[in-house]
Amino acid sequence: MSKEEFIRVDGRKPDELRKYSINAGILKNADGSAEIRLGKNWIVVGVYGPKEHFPKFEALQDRAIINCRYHMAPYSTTERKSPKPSRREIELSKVIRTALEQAVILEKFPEMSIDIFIEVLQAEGSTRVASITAASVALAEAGIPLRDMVVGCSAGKVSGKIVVDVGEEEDKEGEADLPIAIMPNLKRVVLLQMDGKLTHEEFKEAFEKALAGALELYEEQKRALKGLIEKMSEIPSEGDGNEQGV
Amino acid sequence: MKKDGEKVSPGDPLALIEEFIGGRNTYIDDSVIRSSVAGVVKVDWKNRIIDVEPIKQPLTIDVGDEILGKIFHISGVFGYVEIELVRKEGKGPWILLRGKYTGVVYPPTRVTDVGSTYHVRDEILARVESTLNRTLHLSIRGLRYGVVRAFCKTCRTELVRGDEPGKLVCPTCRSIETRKVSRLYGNTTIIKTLHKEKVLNTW
Repeated sequence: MSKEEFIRVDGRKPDELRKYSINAGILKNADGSAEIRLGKNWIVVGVYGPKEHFPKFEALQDRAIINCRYHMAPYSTTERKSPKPSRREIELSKVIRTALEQAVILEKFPEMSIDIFIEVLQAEGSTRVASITAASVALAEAGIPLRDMVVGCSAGKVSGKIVVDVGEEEDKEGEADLPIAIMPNLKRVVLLQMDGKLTHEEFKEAFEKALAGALELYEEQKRALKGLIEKMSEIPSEGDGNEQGV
Repeated sequence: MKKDGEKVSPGDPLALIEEFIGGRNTYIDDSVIRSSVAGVVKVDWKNRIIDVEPIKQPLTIDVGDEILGKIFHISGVFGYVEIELVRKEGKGPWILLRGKYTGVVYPPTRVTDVGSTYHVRDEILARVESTLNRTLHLSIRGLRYGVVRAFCKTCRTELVRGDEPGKLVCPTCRSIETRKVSRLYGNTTIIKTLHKEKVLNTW
C-alpha cells in the first residue's frame, strides 16, 4: 500500500488534522478564557491573574508563579472518570505549566501568581497539546505578556505509518506517540515527549508532521485572537468618566 | 514592518531595532521588536516608537491609584487593609479586584492612639503613596481620603457624622467616636460601590 493510499481509522489522511476550532473570551467571570474543539476533544481554559500570591512566603521575589490545573471531567471519557486528580492529571498539569512558563514574561509580575484552569469536557486523544494551545489563547486574552504563542500538536506511528494529530483509538493501538509544543515565531520547542519506539528517520518525519500540524493550529489561534480584537474594538468602554464626583 | 492599526498577536515581529524603538507591550528578541500582547499596532513616526495597544491589560495597582478597602488588622499604628476596589489614577470607573490585595495605611499625622484615626472593620478610601518593597503603602492625607464607613465599638451599629468635624455618633447608644473622616463619609454611592452593588466595570 503506498503512503498516499493509507487511510486512518477515522477516515483521515496521514497528514490531516481533525476538525478544529478555537474561540477566545468565552467565560464572563475569568480574566482570560478560551475553548478548543479538536475532533471530539472539547477543552475549556480559564485564566485568573496576575494577582497577589498567597501564602506570601511562597511568592518569588523576581517573577510570578504559574499555577496550572489540568482536570478531566467525570463525563469526559466513555467510562466515568473519578473527579479526584489522578497521577496522570497531576503530571500533565506540571508538563503544561513548564511549557507555558517559557512563553509568559513572568519577570513583569514579581511576587504574583497566574492561575490556569484547564477543564477537559470531552476527551479523544492528544488532550495535552490541545490544552496547551487553548491555554496560550486564554493567557493572551487575559492580556498577560507572552514572548510568543504556544501551540501544540502530536504525531504518532500507527500500523507502521507516521500520522499527525493522534486520536484516541490510534493512541491506544498505535506503536508510538510524539506530542510537541512550539513557539512558532521564536522557533523554539517547549514540549517534546515520546511514548513508544521510533527510528531516527521515523522520529524526524513525525516531528516534521507534528510541526506542520502545530503551524496550522497557530493560524487558528491567530484567527481567534484577531476576532476578539475586532469584537473588543466595537464595544464602547463602559462607565468611563462616570462617578467623577465620588 | 507592521503597519499602523494592524492586528497582532504575541510574538509577531513588528520591526527591526534599526528602524524603531520598542514601546509599550513590546520586547526585543535578537534585534527584532516583537509584540508581547494581542492588540493593535500604533506607530509614532515622529519619535520612531512602535507600540501595541492591548485588548486587555492585567490590572496592577500603582502609585496615584485610589483604593477602597476594609481594615482587618492593626499593628502599632499601621492598619492592614484588604483592598476591594481600585480606581486608576483616581479617575474613571471603580474596578473590582478578583484576587486578594493587601495594603498598609498610616495615620496622616503623629498619633499616640491610632484608634482615633481608624479602627478594625472601618472602610477607607485611600491613595497609593508608594509601592516600595512591593508593599502597597496607602495614605489618607487630604479631605477626600479617610474613613468612609465605621461601626460603633460598643454595639456595632453604623456610625453617623457628628456635629463636630472628625466626630462620629452612634445612633443607637449615642456614643461618640473619633476618626480621620473622609468628606465622602456616608456617601451612599461609595458605600454601594464598596459593597459591589454598583460596580461599573468588573475587570
